[in-house]
Amino acid sequence: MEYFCGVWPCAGRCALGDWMTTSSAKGTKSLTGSVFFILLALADGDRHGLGIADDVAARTEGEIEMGPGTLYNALRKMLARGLIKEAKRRPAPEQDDPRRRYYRITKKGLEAISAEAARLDRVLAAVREKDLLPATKRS
Amino acid sequence: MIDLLIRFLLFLYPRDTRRRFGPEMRLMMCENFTQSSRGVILSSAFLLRDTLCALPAAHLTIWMERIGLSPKPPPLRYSKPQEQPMREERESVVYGMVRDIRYAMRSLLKNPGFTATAIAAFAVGIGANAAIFSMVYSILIRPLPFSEPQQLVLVEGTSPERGIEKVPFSYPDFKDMQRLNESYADLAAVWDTPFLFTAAGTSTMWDGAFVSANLTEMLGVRPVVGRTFRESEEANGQRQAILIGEGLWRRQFGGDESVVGTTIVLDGTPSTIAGVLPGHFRFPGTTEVWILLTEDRMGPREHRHLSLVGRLKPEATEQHAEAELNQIALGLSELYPDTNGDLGVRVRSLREGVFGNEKRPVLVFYAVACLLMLLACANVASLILARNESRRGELAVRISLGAGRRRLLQYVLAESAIVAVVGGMLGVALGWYGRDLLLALRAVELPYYLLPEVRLDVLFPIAGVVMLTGLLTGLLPALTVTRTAPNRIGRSAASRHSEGLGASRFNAALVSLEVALALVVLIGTNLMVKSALEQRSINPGYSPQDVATLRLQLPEGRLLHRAERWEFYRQVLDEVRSHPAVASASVVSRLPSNYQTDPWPIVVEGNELSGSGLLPQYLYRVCEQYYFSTLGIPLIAGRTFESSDADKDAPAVAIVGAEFARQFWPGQDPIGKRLAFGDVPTADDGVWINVVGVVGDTYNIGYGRPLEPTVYIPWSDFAPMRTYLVARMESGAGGPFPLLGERVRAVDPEILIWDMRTMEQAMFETHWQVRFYSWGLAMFSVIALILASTGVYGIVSHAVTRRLREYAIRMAVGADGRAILGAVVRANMTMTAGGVAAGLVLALVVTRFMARLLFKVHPVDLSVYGFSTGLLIGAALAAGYLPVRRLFRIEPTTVLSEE
Repeated sequence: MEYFCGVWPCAGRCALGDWMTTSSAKGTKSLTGSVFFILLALADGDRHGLGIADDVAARTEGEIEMGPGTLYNALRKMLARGLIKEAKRRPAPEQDDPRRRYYRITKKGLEAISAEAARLDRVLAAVREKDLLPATKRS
Repeated sequence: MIDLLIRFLLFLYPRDTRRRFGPEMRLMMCENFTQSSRGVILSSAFLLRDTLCALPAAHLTIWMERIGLSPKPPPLRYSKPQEQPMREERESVVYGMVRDIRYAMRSLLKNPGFTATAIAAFAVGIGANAAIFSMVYSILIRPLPFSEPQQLVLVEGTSPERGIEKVPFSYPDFKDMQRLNESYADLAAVWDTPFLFTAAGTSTMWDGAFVSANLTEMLGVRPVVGRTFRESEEANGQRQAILIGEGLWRRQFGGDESVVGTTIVLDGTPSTIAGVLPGHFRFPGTTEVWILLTEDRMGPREHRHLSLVGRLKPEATEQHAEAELNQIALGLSELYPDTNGDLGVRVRSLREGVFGNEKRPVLVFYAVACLLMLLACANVASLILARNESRRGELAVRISLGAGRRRLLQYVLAESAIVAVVGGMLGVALGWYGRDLLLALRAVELPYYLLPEVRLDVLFPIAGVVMLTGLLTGLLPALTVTRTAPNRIGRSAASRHSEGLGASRFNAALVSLEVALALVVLIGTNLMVKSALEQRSINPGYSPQDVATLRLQLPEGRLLHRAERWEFYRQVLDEVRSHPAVASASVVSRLPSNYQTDPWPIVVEGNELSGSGLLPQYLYRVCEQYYFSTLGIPLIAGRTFESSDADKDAPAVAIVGAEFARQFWPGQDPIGKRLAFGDVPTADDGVWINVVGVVGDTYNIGYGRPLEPTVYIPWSDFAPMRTYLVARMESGAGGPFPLLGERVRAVDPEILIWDMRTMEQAMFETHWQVRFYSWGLAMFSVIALILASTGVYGIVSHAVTRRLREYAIRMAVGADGRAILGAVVRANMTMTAGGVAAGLVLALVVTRFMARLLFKVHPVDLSVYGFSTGLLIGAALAAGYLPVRRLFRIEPTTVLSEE
């Protein structure tokens, strides 16, 4: 899955793409790739920054690899928009690293990811209808 | 390295981003290196790309948040990630350093007196040393710019029986020595003489030399264009071949390569340019045109003009080579007793030959430079010590507040480092321009191998030593403070006297050392300056004021007979004299200056040398009858030349200098005595010449040299092709050269006029070395005086500040301000007196080595010793008085309340 911001030669992986969220007709904002995958990673439970980046990389089979700049730009936007928040609970001290900070998905975040998933579902149905999905991906 | 990259990348993000997410981002960046399998380069590239892509958005977001277009993220509360302790410390070192430097700058700016003095001490110390060392280096250390210069030797002829030090060789002598020797890989001959180049009606003088064909190859010089000489060309019948220097080639021929093979006219002789030698090669002296020696040009065995330069075989020693050539010379004198007589040979290394005259003055400069260097170091040390000493209290406060030792050292060092670096940079610049300043003092073009050269490998060690002194002395008080218990320092800082006396004794010793060194420098340089003044006060034997000189060269191929030339010169002189601005005018073969010596063998009747041998040579000048009156040379006895001396059947006459008369006819009347040129006249060959007058002596080769016996012969006897026209102008006539040139050309427009200068200029060029060394040394004595005074000023000022409280208390309980002033001055004088005593003893030792350099000045010249000592004590008193002035303005209550 590729999102092009159209400005930077980084094939849409850049944080500018995250900033350029587009507004849908319903008034809710559709999500960019980075935001969507971060929310997806946090849907399983609280994670710290590196945990999120690792999850995204694993989920996209290394296709989306988030560096600290991209990740924290996105996290900042998401915190500001209330999609995520800082988690109060931390792991047991022996497993904890005081330098880490943990993030948790909010209710608003859950709604946003559901809406985005529904939108993607509609997109996927339209693509299937026209039989445009490549054979390898159908399986 | 990785840490640096991460710091740099983080630094690029907005401050707010760094504040919120900095530690997390850093952690993630670190883990990117440690956990990823990509390797350092790919990981770095990934981070760089990520940062590059994220930065615009990061800054845009912050900006939009600031102007309200975008919501601000809530503050993060639940975790405040901690930095790794080590990293924090490292960061604090960097930030601490920056802070210390800033603080030091502020504190230096607040004390402009100390800052300026310390920086000046650094700059002057380094600059003066760099300038002198560059000269010392070029003369004592730098290898001559020829291939394997250590094998090169200078071969000089001597005449031990007659006591003549330098006898040139003849061409046949040279050829015989070249053929017969076995210790030399090669032996070459040179004859240093200027050439007149004529083209398109204009003439210029070129520094030139006749050289044997093998010279360039022996010295390892390759031509830039064309070729060098061939041995075969030395044979007769060839057209004169020449080589020109690259500088001349570019100047005169615009660097045109086709000039090789063309013919130019030198001294009226057509000469073919065989090649161009590289611009850096100018040997001997400042030669720019080399003309091949040919057998027919050099003439028979009695024509002696050549100096020899040889390259020893690797296994040969100078002694062996000298012995061998002496053996050959002995053989030659047996074969040719009339011409070679007692000809001997002396072999010296070429370096010794070239720099022989320069070595001793340069060694004096070198000694002065070393003393100045020590002085500068002591000065910097005392200034910084005094400064930091006064900060002990402040340092104690910092220690008691918990400052670490390293931190404290860093703090103290920052100040010394700034002063050292700024002073060092200034010093390097000063060294550079100091060399130019030294060069500006010389009057003539120096051979390139004599030119001082500022070398970084000379400059930086000097700068390094002085700066290191500053840094180390900066460390000293910090180390002592950190070793002492804070409460003790605190107490001593508060009381500001009695404690720390050791350090102040050390300071006093430093100042004494400075005074001692400065006194040695002052006495040494003042001796030289006095010697120079003595030399300048010598009467040169003529009055150079208002005398203009120019050289005339008669056109080639004309005026071939002596009588024609004599008539021509008479016309020229009549024409020149007829001008109202000309008081008197005359012609002479050589001026009494510019080392223009032209010795010739002269025999005095009744003093003929028995047996064979080289005839002693004496200076001679060919001059017209009004030469003596024009230059103001006094007539001592007899008469000057008269126009009747030019008559065909008139007896040959000569005039001698007073020194000549003294040497040959002591206590007798020289008038009527006879002498002869060349050899004792026989019945059918040569004539005795009658001495008709005695004139005053003139200094020809620099003051202070022995007077040379000189013989004058009338112009009508020779009337040479080349001559000097000398004209005494009416005072205030101004711009004599166009006028004189016009008059001369009115007689014959083809005559060449060159080398126009006033007699004063010519005199100056003869004696520039005296001026060079005396002015240079005088400059250094001033520097030494300034350095010593600043040292005294710094220490006394510091001592007064330290004991201000004590003085205030004393004054509060009724002490007289004058009594305190007396105490301070006494302390200052004790310090200075110690230095003066040590300096006098040192000077007595050092100046003994200068005896040979001094002219009419004894190494222990009481007036110089007294003057220098007085000057230094005066400067020390004045420097010590300035800070003491404060005592008179002391308000005891103010001082005590400050405590």
